[in-house]
Amino acid sequence: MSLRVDLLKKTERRYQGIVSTKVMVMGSASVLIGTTILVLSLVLLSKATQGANFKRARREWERLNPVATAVRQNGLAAEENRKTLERMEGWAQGDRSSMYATLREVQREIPALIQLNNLRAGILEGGADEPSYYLLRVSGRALGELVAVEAKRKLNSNEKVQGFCGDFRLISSEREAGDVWTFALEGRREIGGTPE
Amino acid sequence: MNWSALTKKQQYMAIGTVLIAVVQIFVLFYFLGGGSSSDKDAESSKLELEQLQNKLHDAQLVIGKTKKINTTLDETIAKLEELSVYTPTVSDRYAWAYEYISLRAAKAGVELDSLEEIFYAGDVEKDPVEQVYEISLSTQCGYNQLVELLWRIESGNPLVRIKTVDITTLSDISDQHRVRVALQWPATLRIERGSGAVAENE
Repeated sequence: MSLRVDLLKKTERRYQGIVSTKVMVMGSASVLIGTTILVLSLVLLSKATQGANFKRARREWERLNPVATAVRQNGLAAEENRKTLERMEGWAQGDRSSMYATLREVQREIPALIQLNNLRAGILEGGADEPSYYLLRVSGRALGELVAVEAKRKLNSNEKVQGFCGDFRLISSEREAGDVWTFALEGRREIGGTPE
Repeated sequence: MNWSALTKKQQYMAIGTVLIAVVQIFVLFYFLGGGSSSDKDAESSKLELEQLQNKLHDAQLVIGKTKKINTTLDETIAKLEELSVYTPTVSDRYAWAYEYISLRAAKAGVELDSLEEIFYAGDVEKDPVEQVYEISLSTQCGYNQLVELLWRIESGNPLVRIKTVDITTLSDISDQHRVRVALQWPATLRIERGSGAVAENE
């Protein structure tokens, strides 16, 4: 029976591997510390870069913003002016024939057997929720029962008159005496509507 | 590795290494994992940077259109200035309208009986853009004279609107009529001039 006597103290022992425990421990610690420092450096670098980018963008913004604001204001002004021009274009004439041309054509289409007592032409404004109309109303005396109907037919065949107030309707016809009839014709077209 | 085989010093070193590893994991988690308040700050500043860059991009796009916008603005201003001479926007609108109508009435051989400004109760509440300046003229004249007067009025001003014409025959004089005409103009013609000239090479 063999007897093994260990005469060395723990501190006197030597590690038998290629790399000592001390080196391994120190190496591991160094790697860990190095990795940490590297990662932290990258984080700080990233933050510094981001900060620098932000400052640069801010400086650029401070330079460009007043110019861009001025250009935007000019764009809005141009748009407002364009709308005003568009409104003015349709303001006077709208979608109707001119008044002088309409009256001239009415005179041309009224038969000689008719004497007009009253003519009203223009815009009949509606209320808040009601539409407005172009209106043309004529009334007078006609020599013959169907003369007013003939006048209506002629007015309706006239393009300019149609363009003003659309189709005429006979709204009243009454014998005054003998062959003399009083009558009223009216054409009415909604503003913005198409001639019938 | 036999723990009991290690010396005290080696044990301390091993424990130290483990502690360093734990601290490292904590530090990495803290800075990279999004657990710190500074990381939230970084996130918000990143977002702010993105927003700023988007705004910069928009601004550059707008500035790129400077020439086109300025040209359009100048054109619209010029057109509106041309039109503005046809509206009674001067302080004495009545005199302006009176002169305009009476000159044309004289040329048409029509003698004006009266020329009145018309005001409506609800006008004050209206948007200034929708407000109109209305004048009503009264006269007695022949039908052909009236047509000529209206032609002169309408063709001489692109912004005058003949709102209504009322013609009533006078029984005693066959070729003369009592006439009332209502005329309107836009009460204002607002010209937007923007923020002044912007250099195109900005």
